[in-house]
Amino acid sequence: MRALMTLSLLASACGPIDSPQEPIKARILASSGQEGYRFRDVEFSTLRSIGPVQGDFALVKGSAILNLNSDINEVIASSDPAAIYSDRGHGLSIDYTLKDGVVYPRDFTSMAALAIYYNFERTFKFWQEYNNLSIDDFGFTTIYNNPILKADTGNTSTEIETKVNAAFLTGVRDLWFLKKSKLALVPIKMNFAIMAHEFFHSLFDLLVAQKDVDFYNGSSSASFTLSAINEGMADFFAILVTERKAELGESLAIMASSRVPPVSWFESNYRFACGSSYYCLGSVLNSALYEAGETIGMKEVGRYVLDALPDLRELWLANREVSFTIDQFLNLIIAKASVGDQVILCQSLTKWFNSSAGLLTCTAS
Amino acid sequence: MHGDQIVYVIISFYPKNGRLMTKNWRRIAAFFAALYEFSGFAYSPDQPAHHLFNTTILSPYEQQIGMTGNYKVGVNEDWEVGTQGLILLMGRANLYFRHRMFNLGENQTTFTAHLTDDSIFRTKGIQGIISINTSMPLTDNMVLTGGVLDLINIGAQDNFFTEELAKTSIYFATAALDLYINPDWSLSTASMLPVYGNIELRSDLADVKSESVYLLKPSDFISPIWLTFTHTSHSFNVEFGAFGSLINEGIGLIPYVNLFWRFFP
Repeated sequence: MRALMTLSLLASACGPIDSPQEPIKARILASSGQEGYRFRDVEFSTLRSIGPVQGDFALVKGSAILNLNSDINEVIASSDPAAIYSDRGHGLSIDYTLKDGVVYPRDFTSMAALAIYYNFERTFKFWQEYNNLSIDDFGFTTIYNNPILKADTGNTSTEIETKVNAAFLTGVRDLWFLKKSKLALVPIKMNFAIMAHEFFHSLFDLLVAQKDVDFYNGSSSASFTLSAINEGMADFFAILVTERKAELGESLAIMASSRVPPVSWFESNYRFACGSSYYCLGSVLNSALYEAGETIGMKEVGRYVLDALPDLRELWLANREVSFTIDQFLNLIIAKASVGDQVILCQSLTKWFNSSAGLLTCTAS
Repeated sequence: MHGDQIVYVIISFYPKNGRLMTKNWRRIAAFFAALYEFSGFAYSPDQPAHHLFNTTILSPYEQQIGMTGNYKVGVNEDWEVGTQGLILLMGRANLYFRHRMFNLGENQTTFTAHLTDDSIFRTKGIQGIISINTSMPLTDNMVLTGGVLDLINIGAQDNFFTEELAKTSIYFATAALDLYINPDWSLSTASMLPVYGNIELRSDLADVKSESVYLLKPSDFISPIWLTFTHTSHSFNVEFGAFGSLINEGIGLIPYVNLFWRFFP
């Protein structure tokens, strides 16, 4: 009996720390409207566990290893997780202190995991409300924190941990948040707008590509244009989700100057003023939509864009090997707008894509 | 072991246009450091062979100085320290020391290090050679030494804008043989077999770690070799040697001549 009591005491002394009750609350670095990033007590509505961090929408994992031995394009395009990951990692558990029912993460990784889920949850709930997004259609998402790229060639083994970036992987539909860097003011993985941006890529994959990895294949110029459209829309909807256009620039100064609308270039000179990246052209689209949204309303413009996505799919499939241009997509958006809003949209789109003047179908204007 | 292959150095840095590459002082310094490690061999009953690949330690207060500024001095039975003078003049602090770790009869085990400051402006760096050797007499006039040598290079930069670290380490298995032909002449030879290397790079954009097991594919890396004959006299020592490497199943050797002195003050 004494032995049992001793064991019981030992078990209570060494056992798990108090678990938080649902809804889980945590103090993390998070944006708060126009106030920007602060340590705040936030409440999760769909987070069910913090050991590992998992909820109704997503699981946050760490220590995954990407298999770089195969051709990288084939790996990325693969929908087979076994071909992509040599190690799928494990769910991230939180090291924390519980105080007055609030989880205080004790290290950066723990706070990052909670911030990642919190931003994912906020984004998902926005799309549930705005576009009736269902988890059944979207699917449960695995989010990887600090994935490692690994290659074994002959007698050499190389591990690469790239930093200051995030990515959506088609096929497996995973999200990656890469290692933190001194370069970022607000860590990329805690940036709400960057989560909203990557989330949109996943939504685009659902609504336009219909989860087909081969959908994205086209001629190089067509693929460039589709990527620009995808990036521009992702930035635009990130503003819509976060209700704050400066959010995307909170992490890196370079993003503040090149991705937050209005940018200082147009479609006619983006290669000279910004560079030949499709992000530069995407920022022109984002600026045009944002400018129209300031008059019409961001949600209205977003609605027209979403309504145009099914037609974008058809347009892309019909033209991806021959001539797919951004004007064709802009016309799809204009066609979805109300007559009154078409005038505003046409003014903005014509201004930002002035080299394409005359190509847009601006009948209402 | 200390030496000065001044002839070799001049040949090495005398490019086709006939002008000495004085601006390329970092490479010159690196070669002097290599010479410092590879050369300087002598023998008499009181002057046993002394080089990077064996375990000889100068007697207390015994000193050795070479034409190119190599300097070493015995501190006590178990320690000797030194520096490379020309590298010092080039503004790069460098320190050599050897410590006798174990002395089991005729078998000796020593720890040797030669570290050179490689800092430039805001980049802090260090290059060095670290080795552990154990020697064993085979006969009265022949000593075999085996060991492990680590060639390291570390550079780091940390300021407001950037944070970078580069660390390279290559491990060699080494073997050396000292043969005392007669009281005036001796022969030393050594070879280095690359075994394992790792490279670590950290920057604001990525961290990279790479490990190579050269034993699995030795042709991926050169295997340095060294051989020298040394003549010892009362006034000075002269050595005629060559060092080079096994490259693509062949041997490339660069000859040198060296003068150095060993004495008690």
